[in-house]
Amino acid sequence: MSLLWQDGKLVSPGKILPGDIVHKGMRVWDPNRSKVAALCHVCMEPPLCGARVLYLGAAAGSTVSFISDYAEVVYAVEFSSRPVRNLVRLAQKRTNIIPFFCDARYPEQYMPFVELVDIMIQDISQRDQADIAIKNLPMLKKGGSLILFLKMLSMGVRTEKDVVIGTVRQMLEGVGICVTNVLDIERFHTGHVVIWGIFEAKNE
Amino acid sequence: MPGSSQFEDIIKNICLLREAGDFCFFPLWEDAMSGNYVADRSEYLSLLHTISIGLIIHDLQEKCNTQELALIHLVRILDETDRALSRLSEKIEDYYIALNPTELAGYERNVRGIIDKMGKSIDHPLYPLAKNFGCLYDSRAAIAKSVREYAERELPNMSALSGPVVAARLLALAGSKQRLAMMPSSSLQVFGAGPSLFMHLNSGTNPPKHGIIFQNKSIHNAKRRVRGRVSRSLACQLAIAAKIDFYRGLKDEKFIRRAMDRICRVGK
Repeated sequence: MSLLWQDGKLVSPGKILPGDIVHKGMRVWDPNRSKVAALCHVCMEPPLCGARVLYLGAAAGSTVSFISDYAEVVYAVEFSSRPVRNLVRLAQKRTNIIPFFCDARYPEQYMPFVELVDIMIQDISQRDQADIAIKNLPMLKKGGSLILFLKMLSMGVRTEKDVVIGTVRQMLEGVGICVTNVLDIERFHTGHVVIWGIFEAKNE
Repeated sequence: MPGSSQFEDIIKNICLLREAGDFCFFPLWEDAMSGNYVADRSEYLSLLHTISIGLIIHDLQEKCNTQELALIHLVRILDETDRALSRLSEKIEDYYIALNPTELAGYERNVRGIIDKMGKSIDHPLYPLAKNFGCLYDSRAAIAKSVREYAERELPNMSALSGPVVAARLLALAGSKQRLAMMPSSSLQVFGAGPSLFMHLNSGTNPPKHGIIFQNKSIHNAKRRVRGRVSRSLACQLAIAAKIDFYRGLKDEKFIRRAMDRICRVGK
């Protein structure tokens, strides 16, 4: 089963929330507002259906709400106290969202509650984005995919794009991730790059 | 929240474990099912869902430091009120000038007086707005007063050095007292001068000498030549004061006297 498309728009079948754009009774997943939707529009869809997803940097949970329409369960981590309130309100309506109010730099705080997930999506705009992803790797099962949204601006204003991608790629490959795609989503989100990797066992 | 009472013990337990630095244990769903805690996966997930939401609500309540947050948000409201007042008064002045082109020249203008006059004549089209403008002006004074009170209570040493409003603005920019205490003095010096700092880093223009702390009278009364020096030393002393405020929280008269002395000496 793959994601639903209608008239060139990505839609999702869940319960309609206030503020959603509705197209033929389905919620429209706007690529300009959600990076995961942009990824689907640019190249390929992550295997979200029925999956267990760990979403780091959930913010107020607009993307998480769409993922929860497809996935079995979404573990959402957010460390800012203001958007967490919206996330809790959303999670009270959608029971397959499990929110955590923790810093993703210290995964030991929420790791006990999270099972092995199929997909890990990392959407934190910090300087140590790749480090955070690597710290959270124990929760990703073997063969699962890691989707890393890399914000160029937070990796330093002056560094070259290719250099940043190269170093991040090297770091990820060092811990046993096979990077399959590096995609540009410049069309929808300025200065963002998606790095998509498959987690394989580290060969020692 | 439905059924929160039965999970309160679990949540409290988890928090205690977390504070002690222990690894809190929560079973995987296969284990939970074989141990007959839950019947199936959906029950396990709903249990986890309830506990995680309860944990967040607990954390949110614990993290909330009312005094400090009140100060931060009051400063932001104060700035926004100032902006609204200046914009409104500018537009009202434009209106008045357009209707009375001969009056109001140069420095003699008195916008406040005009608005007060408008607020007295009931048939004037701007009568309600002018009345509200007066109210807004009064509420601005009230907010400023409470900002000063809060700042003197929360940041006694910084307020003594740089004035309560500047100290509160620095706190609002930093986000919390802890972050303010961790900051190097050079950051405090150029806080609020972000655009010119980045212009300096990117294209090599002159670096900014001062940000928010320019509002302190020891800097904007200083001679142009020594302003950079004064703001540097003030920022150094402010960084120390921020640390005292965060860790000790009491006013240190001896430190303040020495710091003021040092700042004055640099300005000469």
